[in-house]
Amino acid sequence: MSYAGSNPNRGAHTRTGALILIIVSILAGALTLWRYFTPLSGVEGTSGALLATFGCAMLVLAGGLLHRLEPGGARALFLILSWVGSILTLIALLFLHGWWAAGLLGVGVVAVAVETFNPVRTRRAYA
Amino acid sequence: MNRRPALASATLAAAFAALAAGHALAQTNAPYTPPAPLLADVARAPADVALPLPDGTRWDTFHGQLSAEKYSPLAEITAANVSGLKEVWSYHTGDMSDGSGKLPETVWSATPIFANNTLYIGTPFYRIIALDPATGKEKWTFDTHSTLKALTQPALKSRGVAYWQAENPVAGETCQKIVYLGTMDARLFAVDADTGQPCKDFGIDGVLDVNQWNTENAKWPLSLLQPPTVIGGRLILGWAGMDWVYESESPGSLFSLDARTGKLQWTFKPIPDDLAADTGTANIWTGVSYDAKLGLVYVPVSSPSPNYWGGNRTAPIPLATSTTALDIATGEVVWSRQWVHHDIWDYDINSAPTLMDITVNGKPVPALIQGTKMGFLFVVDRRTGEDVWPIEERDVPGSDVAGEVYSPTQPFPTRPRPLLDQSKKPPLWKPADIVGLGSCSRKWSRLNYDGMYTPPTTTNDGTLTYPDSAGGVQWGGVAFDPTTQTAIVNTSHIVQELKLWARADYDKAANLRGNESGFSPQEGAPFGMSLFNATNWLGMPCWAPPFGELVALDMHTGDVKWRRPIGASQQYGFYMPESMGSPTIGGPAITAGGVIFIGASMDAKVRAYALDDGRELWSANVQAPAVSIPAVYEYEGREYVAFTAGGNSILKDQVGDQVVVYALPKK
Repeated sequence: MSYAGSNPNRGAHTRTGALILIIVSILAGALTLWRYFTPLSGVEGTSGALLATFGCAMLVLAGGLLHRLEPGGARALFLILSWVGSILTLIALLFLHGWWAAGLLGVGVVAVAVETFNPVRTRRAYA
Repeated sequence: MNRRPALASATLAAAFAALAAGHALAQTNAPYTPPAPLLADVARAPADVALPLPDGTRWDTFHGQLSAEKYSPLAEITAANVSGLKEVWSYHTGDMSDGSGKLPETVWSATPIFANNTLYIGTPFYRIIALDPATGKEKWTFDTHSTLKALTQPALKSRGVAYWQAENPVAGETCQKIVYLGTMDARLFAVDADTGQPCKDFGIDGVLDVNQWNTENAKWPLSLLQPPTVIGGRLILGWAGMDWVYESESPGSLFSLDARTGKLQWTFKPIPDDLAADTGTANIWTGVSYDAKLGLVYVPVSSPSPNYWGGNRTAPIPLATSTTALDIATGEVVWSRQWVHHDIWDYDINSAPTLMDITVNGKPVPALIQGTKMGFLFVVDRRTGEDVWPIEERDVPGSDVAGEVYSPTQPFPTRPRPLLDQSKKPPLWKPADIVGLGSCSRKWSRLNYDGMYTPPTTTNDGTLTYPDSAGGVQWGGVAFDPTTQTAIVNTSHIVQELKLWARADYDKAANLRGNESGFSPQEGAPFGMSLFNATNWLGMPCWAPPFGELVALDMHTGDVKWRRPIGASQQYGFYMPESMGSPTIGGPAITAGGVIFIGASMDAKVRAYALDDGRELWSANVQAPAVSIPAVYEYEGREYVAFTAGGNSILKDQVGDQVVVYALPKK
C-alpha cells in the first residue's frame, strides 16, 4: 500500500472527487444526526437515522483513504466500498425522507464516480 | 310512535333455520340457527326526523356530534388555502410512557373536546387538562390519581373526556358544566368545567365507582377508557375489559346515568341473563350515537367471550356483535341487527354508527352506516333497522373444532361494496417473500383461508385472518358530509395468522403476549389461541399493499367515488412509498371547506385531503401517530383544527403526549 504523501506527483493529482465525498458526507451525516435528535423530524430516535449517519461516517473515512491511497488493490477495494456505501446510504436517506441529505449524497455518488474515472487519466497526463 | 319489534320477520328466521339445517348435514358439529333481524315498524316520515346540520360552535363529543358525522360547517379553511395551514400551538401533557420503565406503555386516542370556550383533554395517566383554544395556555388540570397499572387492556389507554352542561346554567353555581373522565380502575370522575374542582353531587364527592355493577364473572374492573356519551341529562356509559384471557367474564352492559348525580337510570345487557354465567363481554367499549328526534341511541356491541371459540355459548346471542337501537328513556331494545352470527373472530362492532340523511333512488332515507372490523359497511334505516341496500345471508365455511358450532350463513352487504376483498387469500407481496427466502409463500400455503369467515382451527398452522383483529375499519368510524352526501372512511389492510391450541399444547407453546397479538389463554376454554401478524423475519408484511386506504362513498348509490392509499408505513424510521399506504387507527373529520382532516397513519403525520377527489393537500409531522379523531372548531372568529398525537403500539412503538393545533395565518 502506498500513500499520496510519499508520492512526488501528489501535487499533480488533485483528488477532487475524494474531497467532495468527504465534504458532502460530513454534511449529510450532520443533517441526519440532527434529524435523529430533533423532535417532529419524522425520524427522531430511530435506528434507521442512526444507520444512515453511520453510513455517512464510513463514507467520510472512505473519502479520506481515497484521498491518500495510490492506485492499486487497496484503492480499488475502497473505491468499490465507496460505490456500495454511497449508493446504499443514498437509498437509506431517500427512505428516511431526508431530501437535503439525499441530495448531498447524490453529489457524493458523482464524486465517487469522478474519483473512479478521473484520477488515472490525470496521473497519465503527468507521467 | 310505535316501535314494536317486527317479530313478523320470523319468516326470515324460518328461512335461515332451513338453510342452517341443510348445512348441519355437512358438518359433524351441532347445528346452529342464526337469529333473525329484530326490526321496528316505521312510524315517522323522513322529513320529521331529518338531522340538523351540525353546529360549528362546538365539537363536544368523541365523534364531533351525537350523530357521529364528524362534520364541521366551518369553511374558513378550504381545499384552496389549506396548504397554508400553520401550527398555532402545541402542548405536551407529560403523560406518556413507552413501557420501558415501571409504567406500562400508553395508548392515547382522545378527541380534543371543544366546549365552553375551552379545549378539554383527558390523558392516559387519567388527568383532565383544560386549555385555552387559541393559545394552548393551561387553564386548570385535575389529577384523578388513578392507579397506573394495565388492569385490563395491555396498555394505559384513554379516549378522552366528555362534556355536559345544564340547559340553562345558573351563573355563580358550580357544576352547571361538567367534564367527565373514566379510569382503568372503573371510576368515573366529574369535575366543574370552569374550575376543575370535583362535583360533590356526582357519585361520592365527584367519583362514581362503576365497578359496583360488576357482579357476574368479575375477574377484572370495568375499565372506563371510552368517555361516556352525553345525551341531554344522561351519560351513556360502556366499558372495556380484558381481551382473550378468560372463557367466562363480565357480561357486557351499558349504563344510563344521571349527568348531575351519577345515579343509575337503566342498564342494557346484550347477553340474556340465563346465558351470562357461561360466557361474558359483548360489551360496548366504543362510542354510541343518538337521534334526538327518534329518541334512539345506537349501540355498537362487541363479541361474546371467549373471542375465538364459542363452545360455551352455542345458543344464539342475538344482540352480540350487533348494532342495537335503544329507547333513550327506558333502555329497551327497539331494533337490532346482528352483523356476525356466533362470532368466533373477535369482530367486535367497534365504532359508533354514523347517522345520515341520504337520498336513494330519489327518496329520502333516514339512515345510519355501521363501519365494521370486517371491512363491511352496513347501511340501514335508522328508524327500523331495515336494509337500505340488500344485506344478504350468504353461506360461509364450517369446521370441526371440538364443542364448537358454526353459523351456516353470515350477513353480507351488497352496497357499499366491501372495503377490502376478503373473499380470497390476499395476494403475496413478492419483495417480502424474496427477502424472507420464501417464508411468506410457505406461510400462505400452510394457512387455511376460505374467505373472511374461515373458522379458527387447531390444524396445520391455523388460519389466516383478514381483516385482522384490530379491524378493517377502526373506532374512528365513518365521517359524513351532509351537503354532498359523501361518506369518508379510512381502512387498514392487515393479515394475521390465528391458531387455536389444545390446552396441553398451549401450555407448552405460549410465550409471548402483546397488544392485539401474541398468545392468549382463553382460560376455562379447552383451547388457547395465538395471533401474529403475517410478516417475514425482517417484519415486512407478507401481503401486498396497499396497507391502508382512505375511501369516499357516494351515499346516493353506495358506489366508491374515489379511494387512495393513505399515509406511509414506517419501520426503523424508513418510510415506504406513499403509494403503499399505511394501516390506520383513528378517524377523519370533514369540513364545509371541502377538506378531510385525518392523522391515523403509521408515519406520525397529520394530513388534509380534498373531499372531491382525494388529493393530498397538506401534511405536518407530529410526535406520534395521531390515532384519534381531530377536532374542528371556531374560536373568536378563527377556524382551528386540533389533533392529539398519542400513538398506538398496534401501529408501531411510538408514543406521544402532544396536542397540536393548526390554523391559517392571521390576515
